[in-house]
Amino acid sequence: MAVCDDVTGKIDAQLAKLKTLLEEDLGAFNAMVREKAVPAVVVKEEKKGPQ
Amino acid sequence: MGLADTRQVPRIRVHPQDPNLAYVAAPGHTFGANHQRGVFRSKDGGATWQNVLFINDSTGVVDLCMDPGNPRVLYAASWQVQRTPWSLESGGPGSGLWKSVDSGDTWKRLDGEGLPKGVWGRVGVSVSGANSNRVWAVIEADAGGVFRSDNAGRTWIRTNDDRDLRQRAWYYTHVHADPQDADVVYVQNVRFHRSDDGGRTFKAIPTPHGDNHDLWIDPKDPQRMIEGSDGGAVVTYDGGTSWSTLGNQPTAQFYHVITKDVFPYRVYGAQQDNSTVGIASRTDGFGIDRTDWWEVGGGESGYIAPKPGEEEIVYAGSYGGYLTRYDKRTGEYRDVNPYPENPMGWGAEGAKYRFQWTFPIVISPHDPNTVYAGSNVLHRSTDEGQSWQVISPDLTRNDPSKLVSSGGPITQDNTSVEYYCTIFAMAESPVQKGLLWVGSDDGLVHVSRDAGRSWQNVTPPALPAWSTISQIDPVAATQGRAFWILDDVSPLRQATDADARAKSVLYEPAPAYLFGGPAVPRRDAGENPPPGALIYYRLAKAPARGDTVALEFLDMKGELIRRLTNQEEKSGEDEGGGGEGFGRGRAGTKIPARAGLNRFAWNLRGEDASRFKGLILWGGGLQGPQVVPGEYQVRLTAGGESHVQRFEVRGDPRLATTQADYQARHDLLARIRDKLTETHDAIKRIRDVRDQLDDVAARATETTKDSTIARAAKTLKKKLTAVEEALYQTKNRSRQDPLNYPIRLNNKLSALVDVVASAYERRRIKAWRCATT
Repeated sequence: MAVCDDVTGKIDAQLAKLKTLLEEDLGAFNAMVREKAVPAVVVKEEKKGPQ
Repeated sequence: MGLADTRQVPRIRVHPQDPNLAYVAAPGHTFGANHQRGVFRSKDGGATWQNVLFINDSTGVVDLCMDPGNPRVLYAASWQVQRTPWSLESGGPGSGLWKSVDSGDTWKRLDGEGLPKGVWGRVGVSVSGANSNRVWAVIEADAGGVFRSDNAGRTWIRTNDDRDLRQRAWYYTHVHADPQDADVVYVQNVRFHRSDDGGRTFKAIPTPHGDNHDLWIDPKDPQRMIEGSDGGAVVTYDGGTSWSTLGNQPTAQFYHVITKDVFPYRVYGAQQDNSTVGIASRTDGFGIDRTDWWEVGGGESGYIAPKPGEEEIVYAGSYGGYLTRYDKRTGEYRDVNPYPENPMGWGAEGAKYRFQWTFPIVISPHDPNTVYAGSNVLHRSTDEGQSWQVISPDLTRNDPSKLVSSGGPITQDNTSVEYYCTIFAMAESPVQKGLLWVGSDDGLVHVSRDAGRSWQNVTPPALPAWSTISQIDPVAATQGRAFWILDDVSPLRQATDADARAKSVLYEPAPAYLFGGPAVPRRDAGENPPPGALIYYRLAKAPARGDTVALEFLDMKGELIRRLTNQEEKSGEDEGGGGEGFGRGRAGTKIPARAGLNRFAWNLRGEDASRFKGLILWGGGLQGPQVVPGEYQVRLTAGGESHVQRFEVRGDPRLATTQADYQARHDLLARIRDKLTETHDAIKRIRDVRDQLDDVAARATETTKDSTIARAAKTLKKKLTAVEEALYQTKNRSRQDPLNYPIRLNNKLSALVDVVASAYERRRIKAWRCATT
């Protein structure tokens, strides 16, 4: 196999994996976040630093 | 009063404690009488000068020294010298030795016992740093030589009369006392000489170049010296056992400049007291250095004539009628002197043919085997110099009063520099074969319309008699330091008065070549012109803060190839991309936008592949593909105005690469660039998603007191990181880390960029293929 095809083929396999992760896995994760009703924004207390 | 008319200044002496008190030796005009000569003194750091020693209007001062033990005491050497185009006369009643004991207010001529009788010529003088009473002089005279005084100039003895120390006296005659050892003295001539025994005997010290003329000796450590010669300046730390290099200073003095229209074009010249040089005008490398020039025969003083159509064959001349034909391919040097009778030491009256020190050598524009050479007559060879015919009568004034031995009244010096009444310029019409023009150094112009069978004197009546005709040619030549090339005269040709009133102007760029190394200023090599297309544009005023000036490069269909502006590119995530290898910087991402003329060198490339923060690559690059040869457009947008110019991009004419080859290379590089961008964009996306996952996981844990989401985030992050690490070696922190942490897929791909860029043929490109896009 020609070198360029070899390298780009391997890259494309990774990019395909990434596509799955960002569509399916991330979709499932976001559904879970919705289900758990995680607030979009929280107000954080100012942490006191060492004096 | 300044030093407006002194011209040459061979000596400056500054008072060791008072830096505002300085003395200047002025020998005067070379070719005629003038008044600003002798010794000048300034008491105000050079603002004003006083002529404290004046002898007469044909005698100046050539050497001057200050007693290191008493800076009020000065010695000066006066020199009566006169040049004409046909003579040099060194010596006369004005030449002599002078002393002042009151900081130059008054001067006394030294005429004590022991000094040579009769006429003097050039004189050199130096005081010992170890003993103020010990003074050295080198004197050109019939009974000349090295002289020593041990009573501060009152009486003298001649310690040495070797001709090695005083030959060609007008050119040398230099003496330098050691600052610490009263018995050590240096005399410079063709060679560099040292005496350890009070000037009785001298030994030559080898130096990197002959013809030695000046010396500085460290007063605190006399082993440290700087020596000046016709080759430049060299430094020793060990009393002359070893010297620094001459190869680090632009000291070449070229007699003429000749160019040869090959690609890249070549420049030729012969340099004073050195070699001839043929040199590339630009290269593919990081400068124009020693590997890009070579000797082409001939000698120091001559014309050079590369053979049309066979550029490896070069004719080159030198003094004495010397003429060589050099073939770079075989290394063959062939002496092809038209009349190889050596004239050394003879005045012009003794020469059958008078070849000037730098006589013209011209190849016929109609026949590459026909060579012309000029003496007092015109010589022609039709067989590359193997045989010669005289094709003219004497085409000069041939004035016997100017054809005499040069020198005197003491020393004769005949090198052919002073050969006069000679042909000094020659040209054959490029339009009409056999139409020959000849100009002489004594002011005659002749023409032949029948290849030399008959000649007509066509000297313009308005031309002053005895003018020198030095050029019959449209190309300008100058005798200067090093070669200088004005790379691009396009804006000069196009500029008009109206440009100065316009808000913005875009000049038509000259054709650009897919060739050329980077322009890197170097001290030890010539600088290449910037590679790519040179875009010149003029702005009436600099843009206000935040206003954009843009250059856009488009193909002829109007498709954008590259857009560049005067604004800084966003930093942050776009940083990175540093890698091993040279010249991979992101050159040319910001264009200049100053009031007046601006220049930007477009590297002929499309957009780079994208990059991300911290990106480190081993080899390869992110650079966009070079465009293919063809017509392109550039558009300048500034202050609401827009201008478009067309220009041509050309391939390297030395290559057999076809348009289809260039296209195939471009297309593959574009595909690689696109795939790299896709890969790097994916990495940036992974990093962004991971940051968000961290954020939401922390929020979830804090608000719901449940770690389910944090665990799910961790699992997803792990999967994403696995992809990132397959695409990029995330452990890289420094440039050579890839030797420790193996390169990943993005680097495997980027490393192909240089390989593909070096392919100039489709077959090679096809072998790599890249079907999956």
